[in-house]
Amino acid sequence: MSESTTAGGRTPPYVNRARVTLRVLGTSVTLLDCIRDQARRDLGIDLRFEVLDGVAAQRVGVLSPETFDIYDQWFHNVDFVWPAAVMQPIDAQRIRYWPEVNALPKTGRLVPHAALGAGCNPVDRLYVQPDGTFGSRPSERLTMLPVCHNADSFGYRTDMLPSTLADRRESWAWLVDPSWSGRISIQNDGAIGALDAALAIRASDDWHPQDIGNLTVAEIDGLMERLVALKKKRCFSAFWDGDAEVTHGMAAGDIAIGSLWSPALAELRRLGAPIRLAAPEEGYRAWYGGMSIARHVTGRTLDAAYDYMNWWLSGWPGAIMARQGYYIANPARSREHLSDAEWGYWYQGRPAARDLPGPRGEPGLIRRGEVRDGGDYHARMSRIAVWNSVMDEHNYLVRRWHQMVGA
Amino acid sequence: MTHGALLLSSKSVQESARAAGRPLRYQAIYDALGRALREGRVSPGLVLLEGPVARIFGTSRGPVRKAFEQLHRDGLISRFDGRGFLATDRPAHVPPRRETLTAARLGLAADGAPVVDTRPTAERIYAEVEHAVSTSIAFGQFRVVELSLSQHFGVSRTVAREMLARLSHQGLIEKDGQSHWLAGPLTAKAVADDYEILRLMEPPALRAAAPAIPRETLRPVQQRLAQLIAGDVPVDATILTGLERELHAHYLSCYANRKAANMMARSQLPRVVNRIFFDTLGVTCDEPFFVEHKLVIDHLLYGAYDAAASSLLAHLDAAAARTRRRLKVLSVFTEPALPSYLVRTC
Repeated sequence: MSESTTAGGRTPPYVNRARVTLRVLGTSVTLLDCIRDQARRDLGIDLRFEVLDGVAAQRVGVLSPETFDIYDQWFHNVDFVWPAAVMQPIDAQRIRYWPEVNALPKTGRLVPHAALGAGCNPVDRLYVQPDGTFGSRPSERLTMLPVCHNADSFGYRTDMLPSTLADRRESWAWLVDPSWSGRISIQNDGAIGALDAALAIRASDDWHPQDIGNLTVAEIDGLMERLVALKKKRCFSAFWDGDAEVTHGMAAGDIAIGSLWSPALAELRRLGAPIRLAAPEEGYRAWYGGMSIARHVTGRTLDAAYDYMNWWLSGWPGAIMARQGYYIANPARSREHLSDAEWGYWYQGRPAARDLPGPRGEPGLIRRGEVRDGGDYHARMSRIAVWNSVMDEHNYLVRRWHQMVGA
Repeated sequence: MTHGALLLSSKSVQESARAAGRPLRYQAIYDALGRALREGRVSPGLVLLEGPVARIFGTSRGPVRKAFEQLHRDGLISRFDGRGFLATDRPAHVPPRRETLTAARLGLAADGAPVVDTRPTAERIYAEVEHAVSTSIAFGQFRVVELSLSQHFGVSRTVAREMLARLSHQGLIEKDGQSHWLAGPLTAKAVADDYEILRLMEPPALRAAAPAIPRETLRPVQQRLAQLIAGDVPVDATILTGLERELHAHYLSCYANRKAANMMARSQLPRVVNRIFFDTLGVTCDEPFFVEHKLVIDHLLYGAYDAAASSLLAHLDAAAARTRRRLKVLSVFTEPALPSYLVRTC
């Protein structure tokens, strides 16, 4: 009798025990090696991260959905992937900590009196509606699971701050102020960097769009004319696509001020560059990251996709994200994975009680006594000038934007 | 504009057909006629002439001549004492019959779809230009250069000018201050403007035309939509955009106000957005378009003309919202290769 048969002499039914492979498409914002390694260990699945810059990931997301299982990007990208019908609805009942997810993605604000912010508020694209489109009317089916979020601004080298700005309140206008003499860099995504530029031009020039989160053709033309004029004056040093570019530029001093995301900020701190993230008086440009499941995913891979998403809200990943400067959709569960000093600095806006580590455990990323820009979680996420946006005229904006960048 | 002028130069059309993997013209004509002859669908003794057959197939006479020669070698048609060939292998026993040649006479209608593009060459070239121009506008603003256009197709400047006038009539291009023809850019505002025109004009036009639309022409449309909803027949971008054009033309087929009809015909940017969207991403059978249009047809067949007009309005509103969302998706598409007569201005 062979070993594969039972005592009764019959072959047991075949059980597929091969490890499930889950392919995640996203950006360096969340797809960290330490996250992948821990998820592999905790979930017993094989996990493959495909890390692209945001614009490239958007393109793959819409045009090659069969190449990934989970799309880890931002809520404003729902405007691309949902009409293209490349994702499947997420069953909220299968999201273990869904009831713990706070009011921000579910209602559009953390507290009832806070400003909703212009642009693509996540709540307006969170729920699948009866006709299959997305909207804010609650349902049990989600387009994207809300995970990480933050309020962004720009960073600048404190040692290179022009004297004309030294005593002034931080403003988006700084991002196009000629006194930085050609050392300005803006991020290169039409849904993100273009908004940084719009906030800057609005704060500094005679350009007042009716809705900065949904510009008209004439407003886009006005914005581009002003940006081209600034380019001709050699105001900008570059438009960056990836963290590495802005990190190198700012570390070397070629870039003195620019759109700056947390991973680059952390790296610059590690390198010892004197960088400050601004808390602009006009408010922040906010973003909400999340995960969607590709339409083709079924069976064990689909189970693994839900396991992976549930794992993200289970506490530990949220603590890693906190050390990178990002908030998680259900902060209380990450609280127990952070020290009091870390919770105090990242979420409560308190001075660091001691030196704090970075997301990869690198020591002393935050020095004792430092205070986060803009205050605590509620204060920062309630001062939203605009959300990252895909406007009605996004196709026009993107083509004009790239033309301006290439001019 | 004469077709003759355009017929001088179907070279690039031939090349693009070859590149697209379509059979050569003469081959397609040879295959179709050969099949019809073998299956006895052509009356014996019918006189086959190059000119009329070329018109039926939408080609010049060259490919027809070549196809005839091959059919003759195969013994399917014969020479006789007159112009052209006889549809028989026994010319001595079958008298020649001269009749006005049509696709049906050539036994082609039974094949269903025409085997080659049956449009005249001028139409085919125009369709190619219209396709290129309407595609380009999603990616920015382009100047359509008359000289390059005439060189590209090997046609005269007059013919190129005629094509530009037609594009302009369709609302796809307009002249700038320096008399340059400009196409695009395609904006959400321009698409919304077109929808505004359509929703103001189409439902009342349908209401006015409805009693005169023959019912027997509506039933096949209703059936076809039902099949598409059930997923019984495959659907692609060409079918969908063709169907949309057909349906709207159908609604207006008995509408007497030509001025208003022209205005609606010029408002076609929504169709451009949807064509590019579906060309790139494909179409699914749950596309709401089918259900919305079936409602209109159902109401027309019941004689509920007001309800038909309301359903058309509801369709236009829903389509406007869908198209606005689809236009955003176009922003991640990479710019396709465009012909040299389109020069980017911004």
